[in-house]
Amino acid sequence: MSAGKPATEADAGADDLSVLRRLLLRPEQRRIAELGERLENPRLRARDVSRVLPEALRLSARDRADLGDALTPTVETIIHASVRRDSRRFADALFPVIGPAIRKAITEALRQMLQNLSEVLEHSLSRRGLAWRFEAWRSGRPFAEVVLLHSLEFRVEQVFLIHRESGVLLQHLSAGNVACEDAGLVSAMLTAIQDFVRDSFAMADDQTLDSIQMGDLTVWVEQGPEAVIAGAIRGNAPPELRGVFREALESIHQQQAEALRDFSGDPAAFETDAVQHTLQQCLQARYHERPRRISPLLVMLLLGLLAAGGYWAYTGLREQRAFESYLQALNQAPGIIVTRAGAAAGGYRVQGLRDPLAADPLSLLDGEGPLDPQRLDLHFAPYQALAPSFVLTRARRLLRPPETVNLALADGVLRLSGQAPARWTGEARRLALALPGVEAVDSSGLRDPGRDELRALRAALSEQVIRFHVDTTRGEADAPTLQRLARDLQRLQGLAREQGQAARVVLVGHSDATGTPARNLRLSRLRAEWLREQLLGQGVDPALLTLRAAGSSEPVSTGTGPAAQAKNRSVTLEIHLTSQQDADR
Amino acid sequence: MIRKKICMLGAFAVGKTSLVERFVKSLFNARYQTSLGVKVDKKSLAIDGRLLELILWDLAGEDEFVSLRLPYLRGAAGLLLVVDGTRPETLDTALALRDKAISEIGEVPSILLINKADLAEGWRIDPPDIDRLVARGWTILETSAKTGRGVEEAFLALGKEMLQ
Repeated sequence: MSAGKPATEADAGADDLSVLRRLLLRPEQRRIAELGERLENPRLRARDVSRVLPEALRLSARDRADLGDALTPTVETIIHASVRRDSRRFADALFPVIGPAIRKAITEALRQMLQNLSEVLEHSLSRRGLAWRFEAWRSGRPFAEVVLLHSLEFRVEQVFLIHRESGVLLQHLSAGNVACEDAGLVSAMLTAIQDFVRDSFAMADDQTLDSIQMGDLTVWVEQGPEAVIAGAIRGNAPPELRGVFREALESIHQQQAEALRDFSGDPAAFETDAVQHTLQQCLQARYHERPRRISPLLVMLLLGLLAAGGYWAYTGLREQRAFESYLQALNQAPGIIVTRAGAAAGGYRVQGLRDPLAADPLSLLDGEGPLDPQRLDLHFAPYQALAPSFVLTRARRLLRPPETVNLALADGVLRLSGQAPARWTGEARRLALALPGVEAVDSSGLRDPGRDELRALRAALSEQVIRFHVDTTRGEADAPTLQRLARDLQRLQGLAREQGQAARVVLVGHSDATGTPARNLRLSRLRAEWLREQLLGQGVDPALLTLRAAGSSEPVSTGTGPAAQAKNRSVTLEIHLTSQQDADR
Repeated sequence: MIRKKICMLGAFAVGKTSLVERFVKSLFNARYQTSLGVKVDKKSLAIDGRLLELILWDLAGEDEFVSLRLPYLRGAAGLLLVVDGTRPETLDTALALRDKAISEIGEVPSILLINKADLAEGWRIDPPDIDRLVARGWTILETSAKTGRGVEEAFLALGKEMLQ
């Protein structure tokens, strides 16, 4: 074999091989050439990629989180460029969404504000509310915040889902309107504190710091194998909340077992709805719902007020009734007329007319009744009532009748009956007609005993003959006779005066017919004088007596026998009655 | 969005906290570090169009009195080791800390920051030491707490490594 032959043979072999290859693989070669063309030619390649790009994006978005990260800078650049070039186009594109977005934001803000406002209103005016207002003023915090803090039993304000080993924050939720510091830093620091405590107090790895408390804020930490849930709780969290945290943690470990195990810094896996929902369960809050218990003191006070009110109403009613019956009594009482009556400040006021003769209005009040006389204000103007009883009373007062006189009134006629001196009767008849209510006076039933007696006494005295012996000037009458005579004369004088008359008694001296007239005249005068002396001695009024000497010219007896002559030796009495006025004159 | 925990380690007074404070979001006071031994800050980055949120655990510096609290390292996806360029011994501390950390949490991306680069003329770390570390695959950056130079790059570098 030469050095060249093998080469020639080799060449021939190569040719054969290529022929063979061509024969065997022509379709594949053509296919490879086509594929090469598609890979090399940018136009064809672009067409190919455009066919698969949508599907590729879809798949990438579903399975890989980094597509978004990868696209973000490009999209940002595009948006920037687009806004710079034609901001109006961008504004037009945003227009349909920006309105609803703003509306939603405003609605949310208003809702929060209303919620705060209603809380504030609910607590504004209560006693507690005022105390809180004072606290807000003192501490310089907004009132709404103070209200919230006081009415809050507990509220989980923030929940952190933390990667246990690195302390990197996986997820964070917070209750509305709670201000949050950077959750990533807080979660790292919480982990550092855990580590610090465990390290400082030489605790085993599985032992954990469960709770950190400061003031009314508590941080509860619940440890799982891969992740930790930490909750910041304001107020007094109930123990059962621990269970909620634990369940949430277990649930997340179950849902995201793989993501937790392979965690290398990408928290996107924990931004799913399921994790969010689970963590949301931990954001609990409870507010005080104090049962509206009414304090016994208040109940007693109310009952007391009610009883007092009832008693007041009862006594008021009783008093009102008593007042009405009192008014009735006043109206029925003669001589009292009520013109106006009613309740007045501090009691009752009654106005009207009252005859001074009528009963005292206060005496008509039932002293034992519920109406206090002190609460009555009585005003009565005086008047004269024409009731018969008042007319009679007034008549009695005015006429002052003797006890023997009866007064009666019927149909305006005042009837006088009984016994009364004529002088009183005359006066009474005159006066009575001046009385209101008296139209006529009937005194026919009235007898005057004094007049009868006077008449009888006058008659008796006129018959009286005081005898004398012959030619003497000293009477035969003994002392008792003279005394009786003097008494009768005094009685006469009194009776006459009662009758409005003046009595005058003339002592007429007589003599018998024997002797000279002159002597007889003298004798008769001495006899009359004697009798006057005797009577004056007995106390008879000198003014009553006058003397007249008749001599024998006025014989008492016209007979001529000694008995008649004896009668003529006497003194007789002439009684003269004149009316008082004539006498005065 | 990716969230990662990283830990910043270094000897006492290498200026870790002041190095990053201008670049991170802080919520907690520096006192936390002295009381708890750690302070947590946040740093957000965009790397290759992806949002990366770094939760930076700034651990208290270690010295002969204070030792590292190992539990704080758990779950860390990266380490920032800080060295004071004017104190060569802090490089040894940083390396020892890294070894401790690796043995606790396993291998994670680490970046070494040589701080106080503005005092470069006062550097006392031997360049050969640094070269040796670079040769072993270390990423080393010079930073300045005063000017902030290199800090943003350090976060980016660590972020990139962690996302690979």
